[in-house]
Amino acid sequence: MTTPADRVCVTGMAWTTPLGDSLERVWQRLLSGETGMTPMPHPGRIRNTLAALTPSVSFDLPPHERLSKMAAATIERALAESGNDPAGPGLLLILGTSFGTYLEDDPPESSLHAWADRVARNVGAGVAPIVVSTACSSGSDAILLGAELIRAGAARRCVCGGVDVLTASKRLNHSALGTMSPTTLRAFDVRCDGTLLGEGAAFLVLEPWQAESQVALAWLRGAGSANDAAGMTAPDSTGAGARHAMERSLADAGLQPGDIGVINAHGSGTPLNDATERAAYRDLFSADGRPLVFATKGNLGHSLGATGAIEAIALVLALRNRQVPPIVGLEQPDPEFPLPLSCRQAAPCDARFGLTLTLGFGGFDTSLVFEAPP
Amino acid sequence: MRDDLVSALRRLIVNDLFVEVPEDQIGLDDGLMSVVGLDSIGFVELRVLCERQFNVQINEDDYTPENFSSVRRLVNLIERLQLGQAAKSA
Repeated sequence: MTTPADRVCVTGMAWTTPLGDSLERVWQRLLSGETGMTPMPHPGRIRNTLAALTPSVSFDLPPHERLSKMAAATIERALAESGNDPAGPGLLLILGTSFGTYLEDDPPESSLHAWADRVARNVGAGVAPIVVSTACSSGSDAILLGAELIRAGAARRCVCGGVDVLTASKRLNHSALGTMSPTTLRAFDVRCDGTLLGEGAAFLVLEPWQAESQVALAWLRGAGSANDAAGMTAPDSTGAGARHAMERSLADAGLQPGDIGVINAHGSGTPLNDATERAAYRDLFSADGRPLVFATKGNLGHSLGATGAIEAIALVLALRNRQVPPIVGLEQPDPEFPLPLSCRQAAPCDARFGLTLTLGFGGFDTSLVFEAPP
Repeated sequence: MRDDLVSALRRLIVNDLFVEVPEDQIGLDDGLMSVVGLDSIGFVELRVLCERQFNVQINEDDYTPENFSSVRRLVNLIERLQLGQAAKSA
């Protein structure tokens, strides 16, 4: 349970997405139900050519350069917004990525840690970074780790988040595994038939809360994680692992399920994911509360290591702006889904507390709870 | 349905995909996921192994949950593809 003395706050944030790089402009485009999906040719056998690309980092660069450039640019914008100097003492970078670009090209570094080190040096960070690689939960786990380190007194400020670039091999993986949709991404729709990939980066600056000295964009009230231990790719569709992660994050925040007014779901669009989230939310919120659920993978694609951090920012924006975007692709909501879904148009939301859930390959379940500033 | 294809497929599933069900206990209609225990990585491997072993090309339209749901369904697919290839080269 956190007390005000050890509360963690978000003092800056930035993203690079298929709908742009400006927090406000991308938020407006999410509210309007815009999507960054576009057909992109692929040399191999692939089920669907739709993917969401970030236009601000040139495709002429090799994948490993796009990855580093996207990470560094996003980190610098997050820091600028928070008024932090990268070379300042105690600034720790925590970078999440699924597996960089190792299946695609030959990066100059031999390990993800060496890659993170180069990014940290490029942005002028004075302390060795930490890299987190927990598949689709990497971005969220980087944020969880930053909060834990700050509360333990092991770091004074952290820039936490994730980055992943779209590559031919990642697209082939998901097509071959059968997780890719042959049509379009429709989270929580009765017709859902898979996910579509995207790319991007998102970073949040986390600091211990000091009322007199800073304005918080939001508070990170709680974080929790669990592992399904069920399979290499498929989640535990009973929802037990996802529920454990959410319960832990609520306990960490000192809150009850009924306190949560809005959820940014994982919403990857696969039938297994829908079943897992359906079960987890049904079990957790059965007696207590009906938070409004939204999901942004229809707009931005599933950006793997970046998605947890992108979705954390989207949740903070929902809490601050008191509005929730519609779930793109959702036209026939699953009648078995236990919570209200944001469908067709943006909806008002006066939630004080929100939760974002990320479910990664390998059973990595991570839940983050944010509080809107007054 | 050709018995040689059925036995070859059962052998492939046990020897190359490390399932723990003995060959002679893999029923023709047992679910490859629900009973035999293949996961999504297993199905990717099964597709490639079938292509190599039986000399067929399984394209995206044929790589469906239905065609890969059981030994019977998969043998039917392989037979159809082999016949189709034979017809083309005839």
